[in-house]
Amino acid sequence: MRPVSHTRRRIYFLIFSVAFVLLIPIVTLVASGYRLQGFKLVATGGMALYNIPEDAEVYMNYKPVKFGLLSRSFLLQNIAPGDYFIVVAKAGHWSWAKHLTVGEKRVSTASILLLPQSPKLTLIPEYEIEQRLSERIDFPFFNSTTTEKKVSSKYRDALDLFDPALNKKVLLAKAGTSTELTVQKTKDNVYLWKEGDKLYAGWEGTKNNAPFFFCNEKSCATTQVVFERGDITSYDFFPGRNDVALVLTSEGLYAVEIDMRTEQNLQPLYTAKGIDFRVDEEQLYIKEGNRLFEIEL
Amino acid sequence: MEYRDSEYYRVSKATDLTGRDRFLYRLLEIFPGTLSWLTIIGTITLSYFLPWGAAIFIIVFDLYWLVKTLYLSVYLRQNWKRLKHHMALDWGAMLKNLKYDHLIHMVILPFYKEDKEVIEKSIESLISASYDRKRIVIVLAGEERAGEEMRKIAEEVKEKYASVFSQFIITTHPKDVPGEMPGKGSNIAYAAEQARIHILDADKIPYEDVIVSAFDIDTVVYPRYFECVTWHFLTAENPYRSSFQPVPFYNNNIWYSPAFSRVVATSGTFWQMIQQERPERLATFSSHAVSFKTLYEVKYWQKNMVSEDSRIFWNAFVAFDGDYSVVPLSYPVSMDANLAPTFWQTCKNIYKQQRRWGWGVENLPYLMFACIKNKKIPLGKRIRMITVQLEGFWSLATHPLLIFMLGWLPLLLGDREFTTTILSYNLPIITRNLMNFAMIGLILSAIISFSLLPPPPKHIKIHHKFFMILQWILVPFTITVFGALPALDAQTRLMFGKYMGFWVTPKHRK
Repeated sequence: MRPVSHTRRRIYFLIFSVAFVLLIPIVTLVASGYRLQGFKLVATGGMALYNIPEDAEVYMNYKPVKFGLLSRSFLLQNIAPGDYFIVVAKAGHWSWAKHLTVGEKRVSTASILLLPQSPKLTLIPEYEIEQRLSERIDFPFFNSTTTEKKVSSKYRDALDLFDPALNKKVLLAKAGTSTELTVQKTKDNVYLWKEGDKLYAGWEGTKNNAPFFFCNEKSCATTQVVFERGDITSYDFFPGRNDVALVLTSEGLYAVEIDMRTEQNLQPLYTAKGIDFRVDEEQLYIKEGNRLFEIEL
Repeated sequence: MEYRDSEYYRVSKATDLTGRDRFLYRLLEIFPGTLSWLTIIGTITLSYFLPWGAAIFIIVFDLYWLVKTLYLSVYLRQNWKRLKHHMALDWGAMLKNLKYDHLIHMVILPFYKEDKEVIEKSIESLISASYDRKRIVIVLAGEERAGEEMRKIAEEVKEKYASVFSQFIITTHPKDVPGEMPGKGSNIAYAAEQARIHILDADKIPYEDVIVSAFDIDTVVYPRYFECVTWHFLTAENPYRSSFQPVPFYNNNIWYSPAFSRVVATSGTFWQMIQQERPERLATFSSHAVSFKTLYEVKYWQKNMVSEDSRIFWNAFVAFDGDYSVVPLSYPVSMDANLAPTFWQTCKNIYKQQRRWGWGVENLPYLMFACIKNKKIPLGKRIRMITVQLEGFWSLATHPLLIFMLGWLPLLLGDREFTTTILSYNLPIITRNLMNFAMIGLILSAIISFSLLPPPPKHIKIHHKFFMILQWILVPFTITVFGALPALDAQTRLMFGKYMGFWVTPKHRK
């Protein structure tokens, strides 16, 4: 049995070469966002939505769209350039909505925030009961159990978070216009600080590499006002996110997205007066009087 | 003057030459590594300065890889069919109408410090082969450097087996011969010359009636090897302008080797199988056979370089002005897969072995230089040979890196202008999809490799067989770490004039 003949090899080579040459323009044009409409090649755009919760529904211009079963990110392609109104909704959660503009061969990006309307609060017990066995060597039949009530270590650790002495990150605001000492929070190169009645978000890099929530269709910024209200008590980043801030006012705790493109989404997390909150290792704690809660988000 | 009589014929590196020739040869040594590094650095640079250009290049490149993989898999499947056919064929019956009883097979077995068990297994396979053993001559080629212990082992082996064969000689290659590099090439060249003097000339055996099989000490022949070689020799268009190349299997210890060692070894087998369907691209590799007449005319294997197994082909190619080729046998011989006492030692050995094979790039400047100097080689053949060899070494060193490591670069280095384009989002998706399609070819690899396995030892459990199939998911890792990196390492060393010496792959049997 001889090797494949020269003629047959030339045929194989020709077939595969032609296939390669034909596929190049097809694959590169499709990858660049071009689509065939009739006999015309048109440039389309895309939309990337991140952090879509399971079972959430996505609407584009009031029409439902589908996305992958296993993906929490959603890339929609073949979108004609233009303005779109996106709504993401889930039963028992606050909805998220935004107007996004899709450009030719461009992807418009957004990150979804859907908070439960009734978040699950877990009370951290202040005390814990410890039982100890007292052994009597002389009369073993008279061994007894004693109970001791003591402050739980979990409560103590959580309470320590609210100790004013721990809030030591006192830095001047990046804007440099104010001499008022204020707390700065930082997460993944994004930082928050308050100046007067305004809560600012800043990006530590340049405009060229600023994340999408510092940019609109035309340009990017490295600082922007996120929230403006006279009664901002404290603030921090939402657990696990650097594009959402938690803001505490006299009326309660709110999550507000840093993305200032219309509409900026603001969702209540826990509305009550006189509360305080802390975020520690991606866990959110609420203090109401002497009671401490963990919030499951 | 014939090229083989020129000062260029036995050149091993630039420093063997002087003046302009040395400068030219040095440039040619620098060229392959430069091409590879320019490709890698160029991709990185392009990803930074022109990310969309880099993204398009990477997509087109991945498409090329997919098409090439599918294209080569056609040949792989074809050779698999031919291999199975040849392994089942009664070669004895094929020889029935041919006169071959005048032919002698000379088997050269170079050894250094291998265990007696390794040597005996190879010789036992020669005994088991279906060929008149009285037409087989054994040359056990030892090294003086290996010491008296090795000499003793050689004598014991000879005493045990000499009576089986026509002749059985032991040669001891002297150490520290000026101008020689210690290694297989110098050893078997010495052994061949000793065999010529003490066997062929002594018994007045015509050189053209002797077929030399240059093996490794762990080479185990399949039963019909000698019949297969004989048939191909007798039916070749020009047997004295041909080498005869079997397919290297690495089955001696395949059931004991770790998964990535098996994948690396079998990948080498597959590459040889593919090339056997494209013989004009084939050069000799590892164990091969050639007429003694041809061997004598080209002055045996080179003694001053590492990759003597491929170099002998290029020596013959330039010596005969391009009128030389390889006849693919599509019949296997078996050798050891890399196996060491510990896992990490096995990893290191595989890397070193692959780097030594990658050092075959030293033949590229030799070929290019010879094609410049020897105008008698037809121009088309010169261009084709250089192109094939250059493309082979370049792709080995760069393609896995481009595909598996650099495909993400435009996303990392590109500015916002690029990262907000739909092209940047599609780059990882299309790259992943193209590679997934290409990986489907692994199914064929798994099927073929499983079909070529020897029967498992009794203690091997059923799940080991399952791992023999599952192991192919390691290909992206092995092709990069044990393919591209050692190849790039070798080319870089050549580029900087850090010439490598011969490294003997340790043989470890469980």
